[in-house]
Amino acid sequence: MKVSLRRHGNILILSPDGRIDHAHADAFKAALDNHLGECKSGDTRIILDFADVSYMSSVGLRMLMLAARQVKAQGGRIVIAALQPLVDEVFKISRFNLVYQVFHSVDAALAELGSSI
Amino acid sequence: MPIARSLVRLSQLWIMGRGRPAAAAILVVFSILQLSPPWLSVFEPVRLALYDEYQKVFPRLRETGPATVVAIDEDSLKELGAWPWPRDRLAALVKAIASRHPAAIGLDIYMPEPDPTSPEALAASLPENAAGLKQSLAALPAHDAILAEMLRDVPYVVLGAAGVDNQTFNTRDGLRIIAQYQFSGGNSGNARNALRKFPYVLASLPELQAAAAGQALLSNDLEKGVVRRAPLLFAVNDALVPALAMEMLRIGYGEKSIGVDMDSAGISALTVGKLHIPTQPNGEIWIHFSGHNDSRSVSAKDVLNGNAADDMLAGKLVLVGLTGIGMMDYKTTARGDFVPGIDIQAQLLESLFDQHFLQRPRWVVQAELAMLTIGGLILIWVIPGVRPRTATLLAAFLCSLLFGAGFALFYFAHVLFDAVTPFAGFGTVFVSLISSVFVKTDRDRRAAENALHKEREAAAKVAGELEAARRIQLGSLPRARQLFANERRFDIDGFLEPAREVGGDLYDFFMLDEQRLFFIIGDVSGKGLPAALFMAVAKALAKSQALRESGNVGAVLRATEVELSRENPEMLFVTVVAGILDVNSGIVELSNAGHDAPWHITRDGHARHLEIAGGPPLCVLDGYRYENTRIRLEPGDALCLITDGVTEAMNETGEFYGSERLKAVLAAPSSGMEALIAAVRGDVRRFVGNTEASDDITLLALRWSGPEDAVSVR
Repeated sequence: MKVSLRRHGNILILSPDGRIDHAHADAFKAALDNHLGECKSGDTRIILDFADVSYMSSVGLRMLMLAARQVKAQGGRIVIAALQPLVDEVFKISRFNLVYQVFHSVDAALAELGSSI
Repeated sequence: MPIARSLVRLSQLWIMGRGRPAAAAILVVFSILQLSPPWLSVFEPVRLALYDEYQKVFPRLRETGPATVVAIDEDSLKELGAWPWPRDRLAALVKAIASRHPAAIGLDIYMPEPDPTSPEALAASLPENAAGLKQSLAALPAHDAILAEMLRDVPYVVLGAAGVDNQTFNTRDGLRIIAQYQFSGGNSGNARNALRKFPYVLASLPELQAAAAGQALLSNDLEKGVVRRAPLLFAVNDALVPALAMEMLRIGYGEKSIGVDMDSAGISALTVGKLHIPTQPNGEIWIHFSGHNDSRSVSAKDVLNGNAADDMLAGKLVLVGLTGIGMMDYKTTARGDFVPGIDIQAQLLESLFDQHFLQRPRWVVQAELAMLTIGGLILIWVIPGVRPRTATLLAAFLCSLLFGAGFALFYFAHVLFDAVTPFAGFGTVFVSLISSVFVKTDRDRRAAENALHKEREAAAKVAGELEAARRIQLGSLPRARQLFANERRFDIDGFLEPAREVGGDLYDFFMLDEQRLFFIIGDVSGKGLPAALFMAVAKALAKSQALRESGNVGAVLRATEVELSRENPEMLFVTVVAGILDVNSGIVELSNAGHDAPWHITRDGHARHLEIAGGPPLCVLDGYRYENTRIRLEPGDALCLITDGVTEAMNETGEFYGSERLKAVLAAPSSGMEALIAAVRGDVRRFVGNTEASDDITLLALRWSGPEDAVSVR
């Protein structure tokens, strides 16, 4: 799995590409783990840009849960944006919108995070 | 078993370094064998056989033919009488030969005792009354005197004698030495030590010795009945005695002395007249035999009759010897010819005169050693890295090079090259290397088989354990038929099929009290044993919390979540839908923790998703307060709870089974919940075909029959 990365000031945007299932979960986790450390209070905030994620299984949900737990413990902030319909449905069913703040687009997420410095 | 253990250790040594160290050790042993003296070498017989083979392929070609044999053959004996001849006849033969002016005459005839046919001997044997005859006989000259006179008249006759190791009645411990010696590089003492020594000789009468121009030994030590080498010089006690051929050449050249060159090893060469003859340290030369040839021989009868061709004798080195008394003095040459001893003397003379001798110079030993070492190292270097076919070709190439060199050296330089020891060395090194590869391969194969066996054993063990885990997991699920055998108020059934041996799905149902039925379905994130264990814990906790909490189903989920999160090192989570049905009223309380929404199926065949309250999966948000949704079922209404293994079951083209197909099956009429589940199960199975299941499939179906009009079993 390819995970591209760009920065807007102290906002880090991670954009995974493809399916987050059993086969690709480890690559997704590795990419996440590289940056979760810097996502703490007063430091980098992370936007997970899911525009190119076509499918996510419960394994992906678990990765997201672990990330959320770590960031919460560090006092940082991580949000998710631009869910495709299938992933959005997974989010709705599993009520992960209670775990992650979900934005319809990256821009919307940027606006929210930028304004809340 | 110390023997078995040392064998194992030996084979480890052998295959170490792909067999190279062992092969190198073998090479060293063969180098030592190559350098060891012939009598120590186990290869000597084969080596000699090879030298013989050289001669068979390339016999010596006769060039000048300097020697002639005057053969006392069958014809001569037939015409002139049986052997031994009276010595006056020998004198006549010498005279007849001398009349043709040969270069020298050599007699291969031993005369240690007086001639018994001599007149004075006959006289002595006559009775006393034959005095007249005695007197007449006594007046005749003695035969030995006649021969001695002839030897004085023909001053180029060499008498032969035989060296013997044991004393007999007619042996002497010395003989008159005529040849003189000029030593270089040593003295006569050094020479004696190097030469073949005899304590006794079978020599001619002193009278004859005194008359002869030369005296020589004719002995030859046979090697297993074969003549290969001939000594050119002997030691008889303190004296040096030339071989017949040397003495004849000395006299032929009109020389007084023979030159003896010595070095640290012994004799290096002999010189006579123009001839310089390199020898082995013990004064021997290897004879290069020619093929059988009658042309160098002339019958004694013809010589005596004056019928011999002049060119057979004039200027020749003439050997006189017996060929006609059976095969007494016959010998086998290195070429395998069975010839009279006198013929070997003639061949020796030819070899010496034509300067055509075989040699084993010291450099050839070094060349053999170099060949062995270089070839051996090439084999050791190359063989472990190439295929057996290439290895065999290389070994064959080296061996043919070896024997090719042997024959080439023999043909062009008359050098005896020992190809046998390097050949045996190459062979042993080759076999050692190849077999160590085989041993290694065999050992690896065994190890691989062993590993495979262990792997299978381990797999079988795990499979056995997993199978047990599967039985325990599936056995922990409730069986509605037994639990609610006579239940009329509701109909419930569950089904769970793990994708692997064990799964992470769960379902459960039980009565909380007389009228409340608790049911739950769940799906643990993850797969395999960790998920299965988490599933078991979640199921057990949910049951204990449900039985304890008298309140609503949301509270049960919350309490379960708290307990489950307390010990969750793997950070797994589980999605569930749980509910409590009041079997009298049809009221159901439902709560959803991140799970697929339950289906509501009306009695008239409408299926729809139920949107109910709840929250994220258990163990995602600590201490989350789950809400309930309360609905009322009409009699005949049913609920169906599934895990995503149903809707996400995939067929061969990667298509999901999906909600629509499920909905159609749910909406179809069914006799009961067991049948409904079977219908869904069958439909999913048909859809999936042969595609391997990737997720557990779990179904829980519940139908409320209506208000109490039947008797509860409890």
